[in-house]
Amino acid sequence: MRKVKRKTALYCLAILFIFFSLSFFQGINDSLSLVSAQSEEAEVIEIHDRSIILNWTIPSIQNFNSFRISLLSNQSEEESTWTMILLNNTIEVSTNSFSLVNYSTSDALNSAQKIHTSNFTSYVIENTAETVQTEINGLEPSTNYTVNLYLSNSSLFVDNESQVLFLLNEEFYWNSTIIETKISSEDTFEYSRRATVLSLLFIVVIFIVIFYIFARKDVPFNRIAYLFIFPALFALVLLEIYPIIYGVILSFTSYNLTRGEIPKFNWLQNYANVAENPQLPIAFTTTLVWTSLIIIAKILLGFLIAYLIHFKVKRKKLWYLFLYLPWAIPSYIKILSWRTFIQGNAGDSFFNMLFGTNVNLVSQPYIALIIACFVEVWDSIPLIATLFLGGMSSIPRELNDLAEIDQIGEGTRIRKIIVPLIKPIIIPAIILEIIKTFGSFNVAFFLTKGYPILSYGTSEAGVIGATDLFSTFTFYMFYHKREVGIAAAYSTIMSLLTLFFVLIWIKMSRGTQSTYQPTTRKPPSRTKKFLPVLVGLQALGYIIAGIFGFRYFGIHYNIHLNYIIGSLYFLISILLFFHSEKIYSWLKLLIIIDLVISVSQFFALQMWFAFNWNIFIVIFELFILSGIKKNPAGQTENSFLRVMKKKIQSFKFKISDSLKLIDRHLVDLQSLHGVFSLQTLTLLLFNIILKNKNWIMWTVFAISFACLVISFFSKIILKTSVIIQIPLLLGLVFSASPIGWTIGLVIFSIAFIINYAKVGATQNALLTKNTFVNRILRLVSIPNNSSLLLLLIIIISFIPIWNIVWIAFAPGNQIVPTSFIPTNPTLDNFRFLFTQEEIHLNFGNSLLIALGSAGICVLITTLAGYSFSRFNFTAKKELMVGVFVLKIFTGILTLIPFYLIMFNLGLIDTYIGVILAYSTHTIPIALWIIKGYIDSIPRELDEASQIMGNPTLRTIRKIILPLSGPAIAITFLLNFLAAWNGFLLAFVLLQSSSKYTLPIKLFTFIGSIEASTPEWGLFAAASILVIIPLLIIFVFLRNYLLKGFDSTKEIGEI
Amino acid sequence: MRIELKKITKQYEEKKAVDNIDMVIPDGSFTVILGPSGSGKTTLLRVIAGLLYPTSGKVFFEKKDMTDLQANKRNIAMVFQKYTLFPHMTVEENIRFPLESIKEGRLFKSRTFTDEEISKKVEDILKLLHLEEHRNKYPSQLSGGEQQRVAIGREVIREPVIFLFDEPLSNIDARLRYEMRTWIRRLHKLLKKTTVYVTHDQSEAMALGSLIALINEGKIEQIGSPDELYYNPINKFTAQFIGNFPMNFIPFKFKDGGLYYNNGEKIEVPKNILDIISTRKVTKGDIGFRAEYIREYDPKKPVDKEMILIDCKIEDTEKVLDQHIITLKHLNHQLFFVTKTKKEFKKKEALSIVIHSDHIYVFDNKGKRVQN
Repeated sequence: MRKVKRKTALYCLAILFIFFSLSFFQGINDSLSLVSAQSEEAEVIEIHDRSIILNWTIPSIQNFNSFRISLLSNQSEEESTWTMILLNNTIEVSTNSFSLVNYSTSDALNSAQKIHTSNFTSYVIENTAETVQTEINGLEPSTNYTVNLYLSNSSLFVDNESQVLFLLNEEFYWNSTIIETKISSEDTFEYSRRATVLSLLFIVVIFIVIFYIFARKDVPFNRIAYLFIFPALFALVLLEIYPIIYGVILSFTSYNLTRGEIPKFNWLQNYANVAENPQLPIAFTTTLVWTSLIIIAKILLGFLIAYLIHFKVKRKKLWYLFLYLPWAIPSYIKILSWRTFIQGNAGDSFFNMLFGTNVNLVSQPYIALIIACFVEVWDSIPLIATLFLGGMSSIPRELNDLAEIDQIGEGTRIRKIIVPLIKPIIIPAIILEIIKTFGSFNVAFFLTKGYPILSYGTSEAGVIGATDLFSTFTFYMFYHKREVGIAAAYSTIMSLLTLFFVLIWIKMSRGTQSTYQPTTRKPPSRTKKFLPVLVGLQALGYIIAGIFGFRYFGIHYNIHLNYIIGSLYFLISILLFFHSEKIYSWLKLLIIIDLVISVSQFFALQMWFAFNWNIFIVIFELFILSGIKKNPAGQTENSFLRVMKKKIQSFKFKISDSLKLIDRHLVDLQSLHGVFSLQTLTLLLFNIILKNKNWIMWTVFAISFACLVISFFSKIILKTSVIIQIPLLLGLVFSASPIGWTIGLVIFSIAFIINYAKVGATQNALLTKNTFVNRILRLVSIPNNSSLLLLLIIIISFIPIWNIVWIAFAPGNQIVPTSFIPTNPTLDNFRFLFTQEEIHLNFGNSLLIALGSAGICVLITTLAGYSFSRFNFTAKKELMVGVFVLKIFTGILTLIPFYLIMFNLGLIDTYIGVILAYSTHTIPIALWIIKGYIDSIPRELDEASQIMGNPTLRTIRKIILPLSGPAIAITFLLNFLAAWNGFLLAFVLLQSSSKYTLPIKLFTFIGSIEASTPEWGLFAAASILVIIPLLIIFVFLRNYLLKGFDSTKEIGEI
Repeated sequence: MRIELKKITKQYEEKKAVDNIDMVIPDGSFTVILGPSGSGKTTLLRVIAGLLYPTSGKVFFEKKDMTDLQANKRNIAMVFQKYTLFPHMTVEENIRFPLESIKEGRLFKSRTFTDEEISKKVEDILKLLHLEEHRNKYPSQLSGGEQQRVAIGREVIREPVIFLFDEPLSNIDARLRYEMRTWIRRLHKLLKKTTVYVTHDQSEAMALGSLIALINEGKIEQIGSPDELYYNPINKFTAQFIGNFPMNFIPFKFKDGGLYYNNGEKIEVPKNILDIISTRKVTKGDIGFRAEYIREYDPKKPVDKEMILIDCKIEDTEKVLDQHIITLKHLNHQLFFVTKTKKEFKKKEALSIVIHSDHIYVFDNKGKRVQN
């Protein structure tokens, strides 16, 4: 063992050495190829393929009146004069006209005048010129030139209306080193095209050879299976794996789309560039804050909704349907409609009108980030709720009934029964969700496009905003800055981070089994031996951060904090070596403190680069710590902790005792008090947010608050607080509050009264025994709080949609609704769409692309699904997992290489390129659905058909296809929707507006957030046109479509 | 067509489902592969059919190596245990389908049979199997027996060289099963094609098979006619598996020319059996006898020299119609005893039984039959 280790260490060292020496040589080469001017007076500034830009200062010697620039190329031995530059004191000064020769005087930059002489091309510049800049053009690409500069005396003769220039004498002034002009841009293109085609061929050949070897090795009966999975795997290799490899290689090159030059292999220069600019830590921090906020919100809200639907309300299917309706709407429309609702025209929006607030996403970093998170959560809540619902419906009914019979309280039931049982199902799905959120693009792009810009995020390399995630910033570097190499470096870093989560996910989904299956005992993990090393690393990081002010590590409040935390980590790492068991709880405590401090920097210091990269070490540590089994209670903990725990416990008991005291007054009144408290809180928020100085509202708030406090002890006050609702609403009306708050408080009042009525209906003692009143009470108390809450959630998600509908029918370009139904509704917007914008063409484009891509996808996945289901070939499981993991890496990560490949193959701005791009998008999910479905068709059927002498293809056509119709339809539809709603790839690949698909067309109507003239009406009308067919499809096929969601769960079973 | 299996092994990860089987299935025979569930009999059948590729070994039809040929090129017929019919086709379409599948030509294939020919053949088969009134029904509208009949008809129509049956009757209720058994037997007589029939039900095997191959844990225990297997088992497993009741065994030790029970008591055995044991030098083993051949000891009659007398205790009695099934206890092991006497047996009574030496089988301690 030790020998092996030493060997590997040696290898590592050798590789490192080679690496460094190579990069060193690279550096030397670079310095050689740099052009340095011989004398300080003249300098070659830029070298292009057909031109060189030369800059020199005019010497102060007086015995000359012109410059001669001559060229010596390696192709012709003779020196040729390129141009003469004459100094003159009487010329017209022109600043704007185009000229190859420019000069600067002490106060201005001017362009020289061209004069026509019969023997030389000549330019005239002013006497007072100080420096001259010429663009020597007309050169051959990739040839060597030497530029000579002579000081000369010359005279101009006018002869027969033509001018002749005579050289009297000249003196050598400066010559350049040998300059090699760059390869021509056509050649560059040809070069990269050839490189792409060659590498593509290489990959294809390698793939086919490997595939062939595998197929030959396997038993003869399985060979047909290889034939069937070949198209799918081939498509994945070409359109997913090859771009990934290409992207990683790109990140080591100086590829740039604006400079026409052969991309050079520049090793880690791009990464160095990324590291020395402030954008990387900012993007990282934003993404991390974004991911963690969203995941927490998603889990809480998803659980709440699923719990309410599954356990609390009647007519589950109806609620389900309403919850999913927004899912049918493409997310770009949803997000853009949220932007319409919240941001509008630079803050002039429905939202601000409703609540009287002053939200502006372009200028308020925190608010922008939080609203972006909110929109993302709302965008994906149906999906996460489905996951939870799936988990909950897997809980046996009996357990739930048992809990009810045993009178277990609701909180206990959630904590002790529901959560532990759904955990193994949910955790892999949650990690997948984390990966998805980490790489999410749509919200940050459509809603804010990275705005508001951060002042400390600006450098030469680019500009980053407060809502710029890794994905959007990569896109910005690629699409706006055209820095392909650097963007590829960003996306490689991002894929590595994603890979980190993917590994955790694979580990977790392998580790978790269904609770109902007997689990095999795992050997105790040895990973805890890594713990001291990891902690030591952290200590090192913090101490280095303290000494050097290292940007990626450390705490920015104070340098001393770095030392303190670093030394604490150091101490613990040493202690871990000796008695590890006792120290774990301390380590946990330290990690939590560390995290809290790190997070607080973000909010307290307004630092968008506040996050430490040690978060990854922390995740590892927590992962290891969670794997360590706890020892029998209390044995190993030290006395101090035990005493603390006891104290906390006794404190808990005291609190619960006093709570019980209150509880006696509160039987059946919790929800009443809850709603009342919420109402009071809303009032307070209302007063604070609007900076209300109106005494009425503060008085109303004071009364409500007083009532709330006293009502805990007196039922009479609670009764009278119903009456308080009247002055409350009156106060709102008189203080002329924005309508949103009034509606909110009215809703709360209604909820309050309903709850009150419910208490009255159950506890008759609270009210009169009048039967009529009782009957009304019962009627009023039918809706329960759960359904009210669900209703609220649904209403919130429908508000921006209603806003869109309003805009579509409103005349003009107004976006703030003034009435429920627009006054003078028109269909102008729709008419414009068809007459001026010709949106039917875009419908056609979308249809063509979606049908094409779905067709390809279904064709290749059906074959592959059949052979995955029926044959037992080598590495089948690994392939399935691999295909699924690939899916995680697609999207923004393969965008850049994909664009370049398509560019080099000449498929940019063609339908075929986009169809290919989208056809592989849903292959993993489609594969799972089809495989699952074919698994459910009895094997005997196709075996019977095979025995009858049918070849496999005919068996598939005659037996499998008719029987797996629903699965094929659903995979077709999923891919169709992906292509129909897909934005990013189509946006990048399609350039001419006649080929735009619907999402791009819709986006061009309102543009990104800083766009000056959004066409709200057209956008809204087009959105409605897009949504309606989708809604119809969804309502009819919802049961099939939702199956697509579930397929993510099955991955845990392999 | 004669089927020959040479050293067939099929391995699933760790487990060998079929372990090095050599077997010859004669032309025109009705061979039954019998075995408990999980013994590898279906695996063996699927290897013959070409649905599974053996880990090692070869399959020959007559003298042609068929191992690498897939099922669709072997011209065989197979009836499965369940899900035999295509659910999206009617009965008639189901029967037509195989004929439509038969094609000629190498590159440009065309159907061998015209539509009229197919219709005529389908008519004949429907008539033969009495399925005329069901022709337009879908499989889900048929009973289990009817479904299997259609399945058989579908295979018959193709005139294959070999018929394979994979427990075709196990999903059919008991009354119909008998009827279907007759059907299959009649069919075999009519067509005279080599038939391989897999079942775990020994009565089915006995009733149908001209040759039975008994398989256990992937290995063939014994091949032979039904009578051979019953009357002349070559090992303990066959003796135990074949028969309405598992064979009774009494372990013995042989020393100094005498036979002893495990507890050292001497067993009085007929001389011919003692001779066999002594010549074969078996020191340890079992004496086996079938429950049907046990007689109750009648104290009035003297014990024959050809008989063995065993004293037992009644542990349990069970009465099924006219039959008494009595569980006896002798030393530590149980013996089954079946009788049709009208006498009442009581628990814990002592009972002595006698067995004639003709019905006694001796097995050595490895489970192999010891005989002349």
